[in-house]
Amino acid sequence: MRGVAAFALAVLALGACGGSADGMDVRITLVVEDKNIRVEDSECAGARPFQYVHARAGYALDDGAGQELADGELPAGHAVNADPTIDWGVERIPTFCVFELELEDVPRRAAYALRLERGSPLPFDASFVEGGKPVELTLG
Amino acid sequence: MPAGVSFAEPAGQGVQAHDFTAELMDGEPVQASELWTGRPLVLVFTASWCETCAGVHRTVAEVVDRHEGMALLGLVPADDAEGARDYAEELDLGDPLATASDKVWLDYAAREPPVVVLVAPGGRILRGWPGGVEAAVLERELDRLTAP
Repeated sequence: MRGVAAFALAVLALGACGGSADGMDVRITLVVEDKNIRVEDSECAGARPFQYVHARAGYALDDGAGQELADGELPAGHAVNADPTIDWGVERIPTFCVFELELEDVPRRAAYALRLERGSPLPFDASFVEGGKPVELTLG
Repeated sequence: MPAGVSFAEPAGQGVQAHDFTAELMDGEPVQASELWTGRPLVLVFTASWCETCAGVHRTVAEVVDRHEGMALLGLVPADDAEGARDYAEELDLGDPLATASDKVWLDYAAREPPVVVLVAPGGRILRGWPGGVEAAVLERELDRLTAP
């Protein structure tokens, strides 16, 4: 009985997200903390040493154990203020480069990992995806 | 460089640019110091996947073209050679485009394209513009190097 209730709860929680019965939509906000000097909101790519994070670079989402579930190409990033508590007083400021990914109908798993063309995989738990909020992953 | 063209001695200081060899789209090597011998050289660090870079590159090329004898070299990351061919075809500038190693990008503090660098005749770095440069600003800098 307890198992049935747990299953029902799980279905309810996952139901809050988009996707089919077997899949869910996953939104990821990838923050590259490169502190590069840019105009806020301008298009960006990861600055060195994160130069492999850029528009059209490939990525894959796996189940954390290496089984690939989805793949795609990164969009262009956009620059966000690296420290909003500071009034920099100039147009070009220290920024992070942020990439927004939307993966549709990803097979449901307990855990996921985002793999970029270089660097270590960025793991996250499936519970982070519940409610349709973007999962924030950080490089840097 | 066209005969009879000369350039003014740049004012102020500037660090000596690192010399480097890059590979042109046709596989031939190009030596930076050969390009800055006796004339200014503008470098554009760019990439095929960079959506703002082509516009910056085109703007820079138009300004450089208005200054007889000045040289322009576009540089893409070494792993962008394939994309760079389409990029070069699409831009169709008539100026050389080459792949440059990570070391070249690091030597010029080019952390993210586009970056524009102005090198004086002889190889002193006069200015660098991360994110690109407005045409009027570059025009003014190149005018200063044009002999009266």
